[in-house]
Amino acid sequence: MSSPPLEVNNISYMYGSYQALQETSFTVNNGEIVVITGSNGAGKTTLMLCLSGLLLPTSGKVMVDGYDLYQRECSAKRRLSFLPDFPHFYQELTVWEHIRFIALAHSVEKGFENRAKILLNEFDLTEAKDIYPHALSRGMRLKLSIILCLIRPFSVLLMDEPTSALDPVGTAILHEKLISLSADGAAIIITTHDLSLANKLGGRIAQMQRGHIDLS
Amino acid sequence: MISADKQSILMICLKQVLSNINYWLAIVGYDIHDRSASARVYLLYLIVFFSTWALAVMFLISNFMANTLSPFLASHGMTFTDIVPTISMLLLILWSLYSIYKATNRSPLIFSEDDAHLLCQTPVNRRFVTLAWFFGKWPSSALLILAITATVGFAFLELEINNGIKIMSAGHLAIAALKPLSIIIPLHLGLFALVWVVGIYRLQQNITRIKIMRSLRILALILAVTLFVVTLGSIFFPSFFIFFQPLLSFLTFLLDAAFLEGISRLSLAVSVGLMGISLTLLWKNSGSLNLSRAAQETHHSQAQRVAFKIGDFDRINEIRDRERLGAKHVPTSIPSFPGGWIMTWKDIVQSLRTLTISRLWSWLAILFLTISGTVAGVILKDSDSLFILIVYWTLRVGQQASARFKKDLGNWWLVHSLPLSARRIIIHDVARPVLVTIALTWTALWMSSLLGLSISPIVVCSVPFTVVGISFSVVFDMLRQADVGMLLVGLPPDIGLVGLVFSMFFIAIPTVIYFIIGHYLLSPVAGMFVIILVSVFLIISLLRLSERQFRRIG
Repeated sequence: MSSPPLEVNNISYMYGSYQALQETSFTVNNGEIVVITGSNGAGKTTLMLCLSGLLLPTSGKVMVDGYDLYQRECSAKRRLSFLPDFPHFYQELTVWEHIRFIALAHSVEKGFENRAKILLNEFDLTEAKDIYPHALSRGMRLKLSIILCLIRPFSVLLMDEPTSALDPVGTAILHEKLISLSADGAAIIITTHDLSLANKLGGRIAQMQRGHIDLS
Repeated sequence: MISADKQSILMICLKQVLSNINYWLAIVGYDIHDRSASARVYLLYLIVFFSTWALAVMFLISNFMANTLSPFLASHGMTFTDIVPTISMLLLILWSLYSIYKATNRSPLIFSEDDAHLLCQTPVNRRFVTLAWFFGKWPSSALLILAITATVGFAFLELEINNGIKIMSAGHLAIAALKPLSIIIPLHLGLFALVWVVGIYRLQQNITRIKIMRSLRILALILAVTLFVVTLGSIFFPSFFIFFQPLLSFLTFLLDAAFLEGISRLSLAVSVGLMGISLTLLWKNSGSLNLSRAAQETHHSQAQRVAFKIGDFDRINEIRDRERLGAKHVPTSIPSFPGGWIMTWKDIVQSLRTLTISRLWSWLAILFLTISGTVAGVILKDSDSLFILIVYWTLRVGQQASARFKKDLGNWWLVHSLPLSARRIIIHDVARPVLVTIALTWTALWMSSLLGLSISPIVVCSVPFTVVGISFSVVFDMLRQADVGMLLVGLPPDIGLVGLVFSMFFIAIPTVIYFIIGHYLLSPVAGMFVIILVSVFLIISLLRLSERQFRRIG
């Protein structure tokens, strides 16, 4: 039997003596969308950072397509795409060069230019493709980071508040993209305060409170 | 009674001045919040100490001018009393022209981002803002020039003493400083105001004024070059530049009066008159000043100043790079390949787009430090200087070799998402700077040997191991300190003491072996073998530790 794309076993996280994430276990299957909502400071970003491997949990482990994220990081990272809430970019590379960098780093060569052009067009960044990230607005930077997440192959997509700075058109396109990715079999987890988006996506919706989430 | 908006402006201006003073007080260890008697005594001590120190330095320089420079000039057929006013005039005018050149590009009024939001959006009196900022900025700009003026005044007094005055009293000193200052202060204030007039005029931008500014820039450049050539020419080839003598006499008239002839009513009137006219022009021009435009132009430079004050040089470089890069760039034509090679492509693009003289200099510093080290060690045999040079060289090598890695750490989200192992990323980021450092160090050793210095083969052979060892020590230290929260907001750590101590081990290994070979008849080949063995073991260990640390960030 093949492994689920994302399997979370008893992960928890403590900032010093403060329990930011209480012990939790869950599985996300192919084509499934999980939407996590919750107030500020509920622990959503901590959970996403742990699931992306950027933060080492105090306990537990995360398996991506059967690969331990903290032990077999390279194999796991090939299958995991993560969008942070405040993405940083290389200030010397333009929008197009960032896309090229991420795509080729993930060995996506064939058809990359066409895919990149389509994504740029969908997210209305075609005219900004030669612009440096520091000259982009916050919403445009967010769109660039979404494109960077989508340009490469993955089986698990994690997005931390992807609509926080998006315009309504951008949000609608992202919604369509997520639905289509889910239909293609990707496991998706997103955190958001946008309850209408959460309802529209129609997946599992979980409320996070004081580091506690029940997704079992 | 002063109006409320003017009170607010004065309050902001005063706060800026106090913040500058507090910064310097903090540097010398004075706590402004401490109201105790001991703190007040310490403040008094600081004032007395630094005043005495400044006066001592001024006396030292004036003594040098009167007793060394003056006879030296005389032996070359020049007189100190002729040269000083001419050179002072040249420097003052060049400074003014340079300031005007700068003012045609950027506002002389500097506002922070906070000022832009809180002050520039309000309907405060523009004239009052301009004058408040002008008089807030002038003292720091004038301080050095006024100190030089007083020093030159002391030098002239010393020359007079040699020519007859027997006792140098405080009164003599005060007069020697105040006499030139009474001319220079209004003159400098007038020139400074003139620079601001140009800057303010430009801020009320329209097409005609943009053209005028362009012409003014070219004019300032031509004037500066002409004046430089004419002044130096008339000093070194007086007969050739005889036609320019009346012009130079006209220009040096005020400084001659300040330093030599005594204060005449005419010189004082001209100096004060220039100040009055410039300040009036400033007052007249600043009525419709666009504060928001000034803030838009200058908040970056204010951010750089703040970063400089707190020693955040990465932030300064980042701001400068952004300004240099502009908003857009055509895609690079450098070919790229899939996989790990894309990191090399990224590095080349980044390096080419941020290549500056100061960055090249950072590399050349390694070359010069190595040559200085060999001179200190082989010719001077000065172990203290050699030790300081080695520590500085180690720091420079560490900084240069880890610069790329540090930049990647500052983009942690992107680097972490790459399907590359920790080892590959570390080695990739460190390899190129390490190779350049090794090449530079070997070049420096080769140049030293060309100068006739004997360089031990042990030193030459151990260079690669030392450089690689220093690089991995620094990388390990950075990873050891790295915090995911800071990395995600683009703030990677700097080299710490642990990195420096580990790096020094790699200097110590060849040094100890070299000592053993010299004193205990160890064969050089065996010595080299030991260096390689120990260094490789430590390098592999550090690489493993770095990999582990890389995976454990967070």
